[in-house]
Amino acid sequence: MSAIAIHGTTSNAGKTIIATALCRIFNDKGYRVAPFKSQNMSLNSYVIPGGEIARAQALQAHAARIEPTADMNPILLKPKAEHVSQVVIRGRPYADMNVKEYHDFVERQGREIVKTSLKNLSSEYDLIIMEGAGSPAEINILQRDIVNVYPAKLAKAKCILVHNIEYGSTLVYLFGTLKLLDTERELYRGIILNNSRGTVDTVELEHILKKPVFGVVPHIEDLHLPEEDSLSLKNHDEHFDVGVIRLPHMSNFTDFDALKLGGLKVRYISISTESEIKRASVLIIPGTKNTILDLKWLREQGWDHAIVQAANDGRVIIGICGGYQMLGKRIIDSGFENNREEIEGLGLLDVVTRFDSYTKITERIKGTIIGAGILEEFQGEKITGYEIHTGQTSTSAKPCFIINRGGKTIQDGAINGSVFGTYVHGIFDNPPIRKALLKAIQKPSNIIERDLDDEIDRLASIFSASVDLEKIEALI
Amino acid sequence: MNNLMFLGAKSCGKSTIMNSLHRLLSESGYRVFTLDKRDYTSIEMIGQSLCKYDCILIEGDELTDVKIADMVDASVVLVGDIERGGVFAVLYGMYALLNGQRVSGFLINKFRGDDAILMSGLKFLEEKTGVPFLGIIPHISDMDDFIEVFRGAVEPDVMSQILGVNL
Repeated sequence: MSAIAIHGTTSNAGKTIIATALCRIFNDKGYRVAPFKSQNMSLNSYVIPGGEIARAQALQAHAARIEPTADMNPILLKPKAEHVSQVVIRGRPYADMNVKEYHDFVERQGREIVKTSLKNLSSEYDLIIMEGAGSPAEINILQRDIVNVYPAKLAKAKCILVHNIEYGSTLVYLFGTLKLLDTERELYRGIILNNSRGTVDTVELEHILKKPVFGVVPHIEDLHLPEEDSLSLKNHDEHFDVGVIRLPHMSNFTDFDALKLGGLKVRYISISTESEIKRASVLIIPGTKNTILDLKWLREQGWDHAIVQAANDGRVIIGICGGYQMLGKRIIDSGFENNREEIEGLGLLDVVTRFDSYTKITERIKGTIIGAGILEEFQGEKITGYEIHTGQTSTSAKPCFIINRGGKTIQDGAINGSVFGTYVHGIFDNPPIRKALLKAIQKPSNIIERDLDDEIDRLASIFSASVDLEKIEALI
Repeated sequence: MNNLMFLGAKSCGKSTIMNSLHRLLSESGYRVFTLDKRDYTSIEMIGQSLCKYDCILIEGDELTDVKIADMVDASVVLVGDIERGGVFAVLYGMYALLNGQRVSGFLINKFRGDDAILMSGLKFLEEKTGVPFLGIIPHISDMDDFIEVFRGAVEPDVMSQILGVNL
């Protein structure tokens, strides 16, 4: 087994897409490749049999043409409230921890967790493409490093250091990183400059750094890969169809990527753009890590009235997971979401949600559309997706779907005309649902959809054309 | 009174820091001139400002801008943006590539959280370079708040020593 580790001089250096490209390129060359990142912090998780991992490693596994497993991202941190994250270990929720508790946990158990997962992967694959986190030269936390130098040394990986040219000070960042790493600088076999919008002189860099520059990867316009985290949520277009309410504890950002692929323009609506609630043809209340806090927040902004008004105007309102819970009449918390309390929902759907236990449902599902209203025309079409939630919802409204979950057939969601809610994440990945939306807002549906595999291939070919692949393959 | 150059990567917040310092010094009665990058080539302008002002503040983006610090005999303060990560690398990288010449202090900008987590890193860098940390400035977007926070975040003794006057 060989390993190549991609480390960055800063956050957002472009490690994830470079690792994704390498997974596809070396799988094309016949290697059995697996991705790995010790610890990822992201609200976006991907459901695997028996748990969840970061979406980025699931994407890389897809690029490597393998099924994702928990070992590919053994520690996942899902930010929950300020300074508190849910810690997911090898796919399973382990505990909620604050910063200090997590640091102590890492010092006690972090390295053992990383070691076990790396060992599992190395017995099955020829090549592990490892992704680091942040900068490997954060000298204040080197002692409890489990994400950069530690796993690289463990897997005897050859490291590549990536710098995002847009951030400037290229030589300074690269030089400082290598210099601070001191004895570990020998792990680094080369440099990749990323996100370039012009020509770059690499001769002086190579001379000063005494490391080869493997290539300069251009800025890639319009790359339709699932976005890793909330930092990269962007609002591009003046015109848009779908407004997603940007809740403070919003989760599962990737639910909406498929809408973009399907030709619907999506915009996130935040406090600074609140007037756009009135302009959206479709309003979506997304999933959240904390339904009750976010519902209260929505009320503080006065957006509850605006959303009810939009529904009365006949516009499409969709609630996903926590958003679905908010669309109902009431939410009763017996102290499992926050405190013991009962609060009113937006009242658009005849549903009641109870938080009576910590039981969390994490499962991939298959189902069939049975809903009325804007889904009526698509009855009988198949859907797939996944559920991650706590809370139980009961309803007397018409359901949206019949789904098979854990061998049982159950009804999911509720629909009333142009308002519906569901627990199914990834619902917009299903073409019939997108068609139903396009139809409801009278937008033609003859848009050519770009497939995820085509996008990965496009990324891989741009990457191959801009770096010296032979030099990288020689590291294996 | 000494002249100062603030050197750091693009958008590390050095201009906000300079503006705050400019206001703080002006409020204390000093005549301060912020030398714009456009003025770099005008020797005449630089010469005039040296006569008329107590202190010249200069913004530097590239290591080569240090030649301006040479011209006006300014001390160089290195600024690092911690939000982006790699802050120790960028500070040490600048220091090492300049061979430490003229460097009189480090500043960390845009910090969120408890500074205790940074202490071992600051100590390491101070011992390695002999250059003091002037402060850790929290992440703040409002300019008026920034001045107050800046005043609280910098070490008065070290800063006064570098400026040659009390802040």
